[in-house]
Amino acid sequence: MNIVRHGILLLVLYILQGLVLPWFKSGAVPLLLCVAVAGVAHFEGSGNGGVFGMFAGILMDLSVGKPLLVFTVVYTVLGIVIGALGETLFTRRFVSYIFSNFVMLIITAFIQMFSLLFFMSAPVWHLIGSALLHTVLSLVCAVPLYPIIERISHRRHKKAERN
Amino acid sequence: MKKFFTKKGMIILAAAIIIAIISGVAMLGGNRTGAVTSAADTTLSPLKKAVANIAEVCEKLYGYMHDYDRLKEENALLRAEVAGANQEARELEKLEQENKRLKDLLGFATYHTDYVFDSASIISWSSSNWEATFTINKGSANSEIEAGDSVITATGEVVGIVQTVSSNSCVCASIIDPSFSVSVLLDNVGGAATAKGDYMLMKEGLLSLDYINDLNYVLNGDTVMTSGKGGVFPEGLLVGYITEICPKPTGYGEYAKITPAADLTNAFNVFVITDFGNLK
Repeated sequence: MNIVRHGILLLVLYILQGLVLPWFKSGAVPLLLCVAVAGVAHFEGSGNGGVFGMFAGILMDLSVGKPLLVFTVVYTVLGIVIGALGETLFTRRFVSYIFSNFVMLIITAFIQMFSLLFFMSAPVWHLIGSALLHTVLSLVCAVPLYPIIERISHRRHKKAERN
Repeated sequence: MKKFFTKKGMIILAAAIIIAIISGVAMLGGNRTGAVTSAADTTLSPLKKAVANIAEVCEKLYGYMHDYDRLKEENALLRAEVAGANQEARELEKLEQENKRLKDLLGFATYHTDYVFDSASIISWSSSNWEATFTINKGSANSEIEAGDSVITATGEVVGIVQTVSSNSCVCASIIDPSFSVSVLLDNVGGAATAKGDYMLMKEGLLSLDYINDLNYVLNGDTVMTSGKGGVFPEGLLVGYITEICPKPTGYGEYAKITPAADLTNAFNVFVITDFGNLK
């Protein structure tokens, strides 16, 4: 894993997601860190996916302003799982990259809506609608991130394909 | 000398004598410069002018070169002065804004002498799509702020409530966050109600008024103030204004939408009430 490249990617996405976009108050912020975890895990496998997921999770917890380490744990686990799927089932192409992102974004949305759903009894269909809207927005942002993440993971990706 | 008196020398001598005689005759005629000098002047005049122009250009160039360093230095000095003046203007503007906020707070604090305030700035908003929380730059290390303290503007409008306190920052739930709830009073309706954040209204920047006895007496534009019940928020803080009365999504009963009095979009500087009700 190229620590510098991955570190820069994490830092840039954290600044965008956690520090810049929330000030615009547009109603929805794309979960760029989540997209990055899915992408890196998808291209680089479970080991790197888990490590990258852990750091992205810490930043995700910071960006949503929660001291709990929920996303640190969840993104580590998801990084490992998606990485393992990338090593075994997935073809490591654009479609499977988008599918990995979709799965991660839905799980993230469910975690975030958990308290609203079970403790504040917000309308379920409304929550699902919002979750899908945020997921679609993040997936749209996942498209331009695809070549960047693929390029960062390029060598390892090729090596893994050869093996 | 012998050579000079040859044919060629004699011709030159004769020509010189003729020119001298002509010049002498011309001078007698009142032309003081002399015809030869005049003719020479006329011939050389364009050349003189050209040389003079070149000299002028050279002089200017020399002047530029000579003054360049001095002008450069002067320019740098002026630039520094302008930058200093701009910086001073910005600082003055900042101080003016701070002064206005503190004046507003002073006016508010005059009526609430028992309140203890701590000023803070909002440093970030949560990127979560499911809540409306923000982080302020004060924590347990540099203030007396505790979880549950109310966050207001300089004019006493409720902005939110402190949720968690770290050493150098605090996470606060804004007034429109789904977890926010406060006991309120309406200016023309008796009895208390509850103003609370609602996920569906959060996107619109509103909160809801619920648990009120009779919504028939509630009118658009009514002022919603904190009641002081519950001990979290002191009494008399401005929450917002009634905007609309709508049926509940379940179909049973109605609720009112409240527009927050505080401008959350442009809220950067806030005040935290760390203590109240301890007036001696």
